[in-house]
This record gives sequence, C-alpha cells and structure tokens, in this order.
Amino acid sequence: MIVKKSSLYLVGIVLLVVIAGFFFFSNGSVTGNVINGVSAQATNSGDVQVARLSVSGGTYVMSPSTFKVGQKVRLEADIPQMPGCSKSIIISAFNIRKIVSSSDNVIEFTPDKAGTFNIACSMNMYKGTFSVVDGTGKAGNYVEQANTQAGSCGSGGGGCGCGGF
Amino acid sequence: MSFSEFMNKLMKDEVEGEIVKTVFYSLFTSLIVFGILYYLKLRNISGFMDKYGFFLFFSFLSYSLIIAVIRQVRAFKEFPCMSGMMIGMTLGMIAGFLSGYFVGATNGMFYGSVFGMVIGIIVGGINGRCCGIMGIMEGIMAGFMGGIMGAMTAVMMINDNLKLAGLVVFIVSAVIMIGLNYMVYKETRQMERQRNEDSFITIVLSFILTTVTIWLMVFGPRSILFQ
Repeated sequence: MIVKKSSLYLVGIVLLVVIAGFFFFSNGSVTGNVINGVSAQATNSGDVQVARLSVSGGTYVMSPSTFKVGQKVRLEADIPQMPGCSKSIIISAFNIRKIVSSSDNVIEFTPDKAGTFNIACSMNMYKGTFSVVDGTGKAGNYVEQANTQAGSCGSGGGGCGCGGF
Repeated sequence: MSFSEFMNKLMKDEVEGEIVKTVFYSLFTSLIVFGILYYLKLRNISGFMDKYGFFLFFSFLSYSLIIAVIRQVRAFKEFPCMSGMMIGMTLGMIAGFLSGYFVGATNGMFYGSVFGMVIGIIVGGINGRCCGIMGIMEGIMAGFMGGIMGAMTAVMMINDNLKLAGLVVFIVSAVIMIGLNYMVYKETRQMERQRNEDSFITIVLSFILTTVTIWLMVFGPRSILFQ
C-alpha cells in the first residue's frame, strides 16, 4: 500500500509536469529569447531625417541608411527587434551614447561631416554602418575605422552581461 | 548503501519516501497558485506565456526540488560538520543560481542578482545551520555567489539560446539536488529521525516562492534593457 502511495505521487508529478508543460509551452518557443517593448514606426517629416533602427543577424540595420550632412537625424529604435545589449548604442563619430527603451526609443543628432560611420553597441558586439552625404549627394572618401576589438566583461565597456552601463 | 537502495527507499514511507511526496505537493501548490493568478489577472497580459511561461515553469520545478531537500534536511536537526557545510553550500548555490537565472532572464542583472542572493542566502544559511556557524557561513557565501552568477549567466545568454541554457541549467541543478538527497541519505543511515513534519511548510514555502517570483517577473522592477 505504501509503495502504491509513493508511486501515485510519482505518477502525479509526471502528470503535473506534462500538463503544465503543455500549458506553458503551447504559445511559446523554447529556443527564443525574451523580447519586450513596443514597435516604433519610422516616418519622414520636414527637415528631420527619420530612420528606423533595428537589429538583424547581429548587425544594426537602418532604414534608410543614408543621411544628409547638416540635417538633423532622428533614429527610432524598433525595440522588439533589438535584443539585449543592442539597446546600448554608441555612435562615436557624433558623440552619441544612449540606451534606448520602449519608453525612450529615439536618438537624435546632426551629422556635421560626410562619410561612412559606425554604429555599435557598448560591448562592440552589434555593429553597423551608415552614410552621410554632402550637398552634392556624395559620401566622400572618409570611412570611419571599425573597432575590431569586441568588448568583454571587465573591459570597461559595460552593458550586456557585465552588470553596468 | 548503493544508489539503487536509495531509489528503493524513495518508494517507502521514510524520510526519503517523503521526497517524492514533497516534490508533488510543492509543484501542485505552485501550479494551483499560478492557475488562480493566471485566470484572475495574468491571462490579460499581452504575450504573457511567451515572455514568462518558460521561466515560471522551470522556477516552479526548481522550487519543488529545493524544498524537497529542505524537508529531508529538516528531518535531521544536526549533521557532521563536513556534511552540514556541503548541505549549506549546495542548497545556497543552487537556490541562488536558479532563482537568479530565471528572474535575471526577465528582469535583468540587478534584480535577478538581488532576488537570487536573497533566496540563496536564506536557504543556504538556514539549512547550513545543521552543523553550526561553518555551515551557516558556507550557505550564505554560496547563496551570495550563486545569486549573482545565475543572473549574470542569464543576462549574458540573452543574445544566445537563453531558454535552452535555462533547460541545461535546470537539468544540471536537478542532478545535483538528487545527488544531495543521496548524500543526506548516506549520512543519516545510522541516525534517528529527529523531526516529524506534515506538508504545511512545503505548501507555505511553495506558496511564498511562487507568488513572489510571479510578482517580481511580471510586475516587478526591471533593468532598462528589459523594459
């Protein structure tokens, strides 16, 4: 009888795990990550160059990715498409360093030089480029050198996984 | 004194036999609490299951394994020094790591670390008490370290397979917990049981851990990267 009782508990545990597992995982993926936030719709307006910023395959994607020199740029981060430390954004050429969130997903700056520039996360794990063209529509020869050294814990970059920003 | 003997004892009405019962009661309590909260409030939250379901499910499973060891240890008030230190360290580390990992995955490094540390230090310290100050110290240190490590691991996995890593972490922790059950069994074979308890503490602990975890994950504060 005692053996039966313990076996019943064991069967009960298995049943609970199976039923609860089915309930919990019927809507979600086991391999996916946590992604929170709201979407941002990029629009074009007046003198401001509006672009949508997202992450695809570990790379920052701007749409559009070409801006005019001297004209204000407004990057609207698509938070659901930006996992983890990709929200901690650095555009060193224009002294931009900002952590975007669902409540503050906008980065604004005015490019004062033409060329091809880098955008990266604070850990230098997510990277991307964008172009700034002058009045003639040319990006010029200037290409910002990418920092090839990826960040790591203790390197001072802060951000993802290292506890600070 | 083999592992198969231990497995046989799990099916009998002794301290070891209560491990299976405790896992069942703990899991049942957690799922009932979750079910009530889900139908009252949580189901109205957009994408709730996708965001939190996996982590809540494995949190409940983790708590049931941890509480089963706690009950087994509580049945014997005192242990030899080495055993007590091992109990305090293992319980503190695993309780801290698992709770830190699952909360860290949804709330970020700081809140996951703090929650993991609190759970790890309390569980490790109280259960390490069975061998005196050395066990308490060992439990507190392990809980402190496990809490931070769990949350840190989760946050570092966000750009990778966070959920699969959670599954691996849970499986490894479950094996360690079963190993601890076996160790306590081996250490107490010659000892008389000193405390008989019903399942009240199991249910209360499960209730508290479940409600606090749900509240923290869903409504609690979170780091800016998780907003």
